Amino acid sequence: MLPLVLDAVPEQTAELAELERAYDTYAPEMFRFLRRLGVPDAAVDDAVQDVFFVAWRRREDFQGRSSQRTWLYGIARKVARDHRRRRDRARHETPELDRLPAGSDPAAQTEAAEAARVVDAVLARMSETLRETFVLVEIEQLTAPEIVEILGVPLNTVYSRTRLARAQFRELASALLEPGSSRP
Amino acid sequence: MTPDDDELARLLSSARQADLPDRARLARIKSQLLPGGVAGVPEPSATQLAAKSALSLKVAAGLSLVVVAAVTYLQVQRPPPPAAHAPAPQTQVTPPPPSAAAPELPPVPHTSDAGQMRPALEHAGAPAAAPAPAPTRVRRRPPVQPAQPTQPAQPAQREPAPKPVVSTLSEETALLRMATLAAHAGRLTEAREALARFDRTFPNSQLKSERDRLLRYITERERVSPAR
Repeated sequence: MLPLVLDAVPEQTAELAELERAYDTYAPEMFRFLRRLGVPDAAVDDAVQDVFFVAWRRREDFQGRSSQRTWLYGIARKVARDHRRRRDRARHETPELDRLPAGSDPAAQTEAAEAARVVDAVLARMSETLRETFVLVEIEQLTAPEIVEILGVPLNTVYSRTRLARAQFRELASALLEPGSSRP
Repeated sequence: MTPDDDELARLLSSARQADLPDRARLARIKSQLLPGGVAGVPEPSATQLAAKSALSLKVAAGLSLVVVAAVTYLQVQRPPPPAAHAPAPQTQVTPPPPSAAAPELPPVPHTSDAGQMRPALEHAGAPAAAPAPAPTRVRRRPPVQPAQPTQPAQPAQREPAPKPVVSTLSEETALLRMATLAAHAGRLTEAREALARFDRTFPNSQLKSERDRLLRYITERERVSPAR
């Protein structure tokens, strides 16, 4: 991929520095969030880049009413949807490679990769709305008010979706982990 | 068996540790996002394309098509010069060979020709190093008959001008077309910018082979002559 050229001018160095700081702080969790929302490993680099590129382009929209973190989550959520739609249109998917998370303990790496496979398999069976809520609550461990900012829904809706999502996840995980079922 | 809360918690905790990218991967993404870091802020001229919206790109591509169509129409329909000083009228006009001095306009990527487009480098100005185009089916415009020299063309007899296909251009095709036109006009920086946007917007494009071919062409032209 060719280097992305940002529409920056030298006078915007301070803003670029802020973007760089945001990237250094939040890129890892954006990466994980995008993966859990179904962006394939082969496309997640581009998706992460998209998140921060959109953040740069729309920096005027960020009024500080929410935190920068939740604002980025909101962008990432839309980027993930776009990637999924694009992938669905293309009707082809690059085969997933085995994920090996960063770390030096091979056993822990293997366990984490296996857990991620199971979780992904369960998440893939959930509705988009519940999946987003579940990932934000249980994987990213955001608070309900933060999720209100990201999803733009009332607090009570977040709570009810959380309950539904947990129940659905448990039910689907039970079916998947049941002996004799075909594990992912 | 229903997994208990502890089991689910362990599962989620482990999954949380997965997919945290290593530093090298994050650095690579960052280097694409911020080439050279904050110190390497690109010059303003290199950033204008990125600021254009998808709509403006479509409009620009559409305008290019309209201009090309209009120029072609005018050239074909221009009446012959006055007979007093004019050379003997030709009864048959043959199109110039591909090696003629006037370069042919580059082929236009078209949505319906996706995957079968004629290679964008096939024109008179293309360097010798450019790869030979594979024979492909090309959507061509209907042949235009030259006007008879003794009879000025009547509006009713004119061939209809080729209709621009603006409405069928996808953004993907329009972007590639912009890059092609800019490259063939020698605006190599602009062409590269359009390609960069194309890459970012359509990473899984089915027009990748055309994109690669165009990139080779731009690289070759940059080697031969400095970018404008």
